Amino acid sequence: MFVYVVRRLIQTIPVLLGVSLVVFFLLQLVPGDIASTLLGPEASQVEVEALQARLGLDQPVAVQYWRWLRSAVQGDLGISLETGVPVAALVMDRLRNSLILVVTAMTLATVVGVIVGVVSAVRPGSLFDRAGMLFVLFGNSMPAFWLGILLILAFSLELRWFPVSGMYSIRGDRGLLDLLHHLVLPSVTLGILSMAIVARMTRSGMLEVLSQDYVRTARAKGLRQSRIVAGHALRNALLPVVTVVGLQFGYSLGGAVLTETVFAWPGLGYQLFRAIASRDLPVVQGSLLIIASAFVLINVAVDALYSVLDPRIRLS
Amino acid sequence: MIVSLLVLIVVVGVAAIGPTLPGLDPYAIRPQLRFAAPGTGTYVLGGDELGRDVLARLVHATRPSLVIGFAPTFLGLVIGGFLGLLAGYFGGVIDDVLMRILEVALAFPSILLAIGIAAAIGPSLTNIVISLSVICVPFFARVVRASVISVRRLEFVVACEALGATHARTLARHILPQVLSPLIVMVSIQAGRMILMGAGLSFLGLGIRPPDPDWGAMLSSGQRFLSVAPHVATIPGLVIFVVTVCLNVVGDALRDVLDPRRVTGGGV
Repeated sequence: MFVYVVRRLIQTIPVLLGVSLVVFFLLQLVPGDIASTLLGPEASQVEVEALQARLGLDQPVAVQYWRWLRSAVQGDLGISLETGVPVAALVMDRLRNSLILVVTAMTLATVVGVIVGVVSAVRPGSLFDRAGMLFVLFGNSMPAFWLGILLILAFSLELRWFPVSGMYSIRGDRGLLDLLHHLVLPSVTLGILSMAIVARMTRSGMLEVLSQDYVRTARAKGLRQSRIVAGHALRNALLPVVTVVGLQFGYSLGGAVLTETVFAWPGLGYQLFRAIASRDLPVVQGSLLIIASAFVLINVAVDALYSVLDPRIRLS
Repeated sequence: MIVSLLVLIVVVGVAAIGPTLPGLDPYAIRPQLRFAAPGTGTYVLGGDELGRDVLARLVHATRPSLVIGFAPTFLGLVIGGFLGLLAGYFGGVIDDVLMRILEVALAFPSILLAIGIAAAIGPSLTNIVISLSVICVPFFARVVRASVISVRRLEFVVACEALGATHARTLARHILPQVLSPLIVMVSIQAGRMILMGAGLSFLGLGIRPPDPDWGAMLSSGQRFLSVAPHVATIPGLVIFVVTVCLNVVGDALRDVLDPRRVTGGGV
């Protein structure tokens, strides 16, 4: 088990290097010169060159990449051009807020998705099953930001049950209840796609397992239906669901950009959106790097979990 | 299924002839019709924050939105499919190099990669198509590679090589037909995803530049006026939703017909 995880971690090193290359060179494509953008049109050529030298922009690109990578590995992602704060601290703070949102959304998606999937599979063709599959179709086709807007319209502006945006109330005590109150709409918005995918996977997994011989044996032994479903079938049907949940967890970190923007949730995605708008390149680089690295590491964690649940993977 | 197909045909029809219809000017500003409710005067779907005709803007945005849905999908299919075919068939160094590049591309949540590229090269229709194609290429390359490998060692391929057929002939005449049908299914579903993602990019301000109409951008500018005029943001979202639902329904139906084994794809 330990050996397996270490091997998987070592395998991620070239991938992470590749990710850093992409993030770095992507932003080399940005038209225009950073130094002259920062100083504005009034700046003289001398001033521009001085700033370029200070930011290390006069060096060859390969040298710039090497310097950037070396500092990034040491936890230094540069300074935000807009606010002057260290990018690493900013990004880590925002990452925490994003994780709160993503974990809540994924928990919601997994619980609801598995329940919908199991009940649908136990009674295939029933009214619940059809409604469930319609939900899966809609969840798959729903633009997350549109759902967010509809929820805001219904529950914030009409019913006034939940706040329109943000993470805490301005005059609130920043307590857990306040946070949960703000979390409801964004986590539903972010979780709906994963919920649909989890429900579909659980349903097809359960349908397959329920038709197998050992389930028939359990039934022949006279076990209750609830026992068969929960104790025998679900365990095996959940294996692929774990993978899907893990993958969705990673994708949600990316998808959170849209949800966070709709709800002005102070997470990494919203930060990225604002940094793009204000052309704050170090923050864009840092956010992209952190989200992609988190995504890679989450995938390793999912593989590890999977190898615990299904020993065949580790052994082969 | 039939309904979805009809809806899609209508949408394509609107994209084809909609912009030529008289009386639908997406740029005309009539301040007195600011936030006009649907059904006011000639504004069947109401007016937006500048008093422009929401219906006219929706109609004119159909063509770019379909381009955003299908162009990256087809580019991804052709380029990614070609690479996947080569990697799966020849294996060895080509396969290794391609797989390493794929791993890196797939190490990003796809929307994030698209956002990164679009942010770097600037907002425009061509640039959205480029950035979304970059996500489609690894997706299709991986799928094609996997199916090529699954047929690579089967008797009919070996027999074909034994008879002295060239690589090109083996690939084009014998392997390609085998891997094609699951791909056709994916095109429809992938196009739906791309429309959603393209709308997402426009929503973030990385898409088509104003004042040109676009579904995602209409939604995002309408969000600010939700409490005054909810129709400005909700109607474009409904259009995106309906088109995507139809693409998914058609895709599922195609899958049932063409591929009884039911491939369940990962998310992109």
